[in-house]
Amino acid sequence: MKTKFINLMVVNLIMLIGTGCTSSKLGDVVLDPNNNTRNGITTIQSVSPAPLVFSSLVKSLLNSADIIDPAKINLIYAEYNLQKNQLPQLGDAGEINTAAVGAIIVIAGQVCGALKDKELAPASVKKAFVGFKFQAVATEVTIASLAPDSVVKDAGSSLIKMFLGRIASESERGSFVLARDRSFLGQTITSTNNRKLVSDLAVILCTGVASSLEAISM
Amino acid sequence: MTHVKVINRVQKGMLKPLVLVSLLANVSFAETSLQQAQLLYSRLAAVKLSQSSPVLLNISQLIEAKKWKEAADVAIGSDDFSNVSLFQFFSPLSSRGENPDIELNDFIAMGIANSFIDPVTGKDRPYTNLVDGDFSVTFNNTVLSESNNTLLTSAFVSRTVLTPANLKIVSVQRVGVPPSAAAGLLTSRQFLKEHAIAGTNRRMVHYAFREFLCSDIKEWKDGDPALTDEFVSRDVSRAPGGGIAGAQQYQAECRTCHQLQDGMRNAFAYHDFVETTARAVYDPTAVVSKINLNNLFPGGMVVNNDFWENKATRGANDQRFGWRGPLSGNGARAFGQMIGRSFRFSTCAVEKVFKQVCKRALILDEQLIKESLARGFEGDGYSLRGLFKSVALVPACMGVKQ
Repeated sequence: MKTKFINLMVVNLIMLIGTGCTSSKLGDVVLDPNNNTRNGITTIQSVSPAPLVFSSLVKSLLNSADIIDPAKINLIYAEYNLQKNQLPQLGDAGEINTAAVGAIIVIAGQVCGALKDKELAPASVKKAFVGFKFQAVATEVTIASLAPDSVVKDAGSSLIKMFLGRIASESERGSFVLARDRSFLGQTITSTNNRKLVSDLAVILCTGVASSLEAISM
Repeated sequence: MTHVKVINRVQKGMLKPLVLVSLLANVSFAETSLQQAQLLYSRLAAVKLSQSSPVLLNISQLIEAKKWKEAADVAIGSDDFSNVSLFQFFSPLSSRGENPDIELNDFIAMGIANSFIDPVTGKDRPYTNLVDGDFSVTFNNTVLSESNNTLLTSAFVSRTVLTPANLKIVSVQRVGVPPSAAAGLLTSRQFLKEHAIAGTNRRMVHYAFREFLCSDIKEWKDGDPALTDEFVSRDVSRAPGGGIAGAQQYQAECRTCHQLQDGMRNAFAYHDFVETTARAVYDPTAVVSKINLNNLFPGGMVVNNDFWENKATRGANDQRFGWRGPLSGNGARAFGQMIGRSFRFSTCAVEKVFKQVCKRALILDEQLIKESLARGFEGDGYSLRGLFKSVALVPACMGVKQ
């Protein structure tokens, strides 16, 4: 569980770097180009009040992922109800603390789990994880065979389109490959865990995108 | 910074702060019509749609055809607008903690129902109803309980979509409450539960001003020495702590709020919320006892009826509120009319809608935009839906070129 959580954090980080938040586009909040560094890390400062509306969070994520199974929806709302006290009560990004980050990741992770389950079905029309070897055979025990670079990049593009509503940059696509590598780091792929690892990878990549501020803000 | 460096930082234990920063990074792209449609819908209806949603595609096509008003109408006509966006609009107004994420209550339900098109006239109901209307709602044709919120809580928990078919306005607020004592949301069970429970009913005025005039009493208290104090009640010490210092404190602080607040709280002299029964009660035969309790200064005002008078009419307050309604009267409805007919009522609605739709507060330089929107709001019959639309279409709001 801890490993999974850290993996999610890593992907979230990569989303930060990968989203290339450097120029103001239509619909952006006003940004101060002279105040975009914190602890030596380039980022973008959000104005206050930040565009966070947490009671919209679940519905938006469900819509984005096209989750329509009532049982899954009920489970996700149940999770939201468990986590909501950790979320900023006034919906202000300035109130986000570590617990809130965790809560957002947990909720997004539930949505992504439902999305993965939907795409796990053999006959499903896959929108996010095309080419992922969810049904890997025993001999497929390498990253290249389970989720090769091109497949992971395309999954990243699909997830960004799905949750952020825009085209992924090449830099972002590459960051998903890095995230995959970090996710698999130190783990031995075997004939018995290969399917689970692919499945976990899908959820991890998805959660990184779905828990980003760009995904949860309006 | 390269990704490798990021990972190194993670390994050095900087993970959590970094993730927080990543969440704080905000980018909203709205370059294509589909992206603009998503932005417009999510700002108005407070929910993002699936990229393949037919609604989103419809809005996108309208935007491509430069039909922005029609595109906004689609968002405003959605169930999400009523059930998510308006819910978020009214929920902070309904609780003492001003929390946007609470369960459905009669205050929120009344606010949402008042924003549905009136089936009789085919027009929007005025937002002013919310402070001076004699109405309540039924849910699935069932009258709301006076002692609990179960009906609406159940609807909320089961995520029932509120529509004009299941959430209907009824013309009498509560049995036994005459029209002169009904003031829309101000006399709803929820508002009374939050602000008339215990205390001295002063909070009713305090929060009526906070929620509908966007003015906390700290802003509208009047420190002018010429201000009299005939309305300050007898439960207010004229020398808190005793001695000259206490008397000075009364003159410098206590009086500046109480003269204004106490003069108006009489509007709710017959309203109460009884904690033991969880009921909002109204008894026109007797002033609520808690109001005249604690006789610290026998010469202070004793409340004998629900006559109230507004003393927040001088100097800066006159300009701040732009009063155009009655400045004195009997009962809650007249008080609500005073609130609802002020110009500040309209600009307050604009400020709240702007903050919700545009995700930022209006700045000082946008005073003209605010006033223009407020006049438009009034000219449009105080249509809240119309105001949401007008605000969304202000170029300064979403930064989208229309």
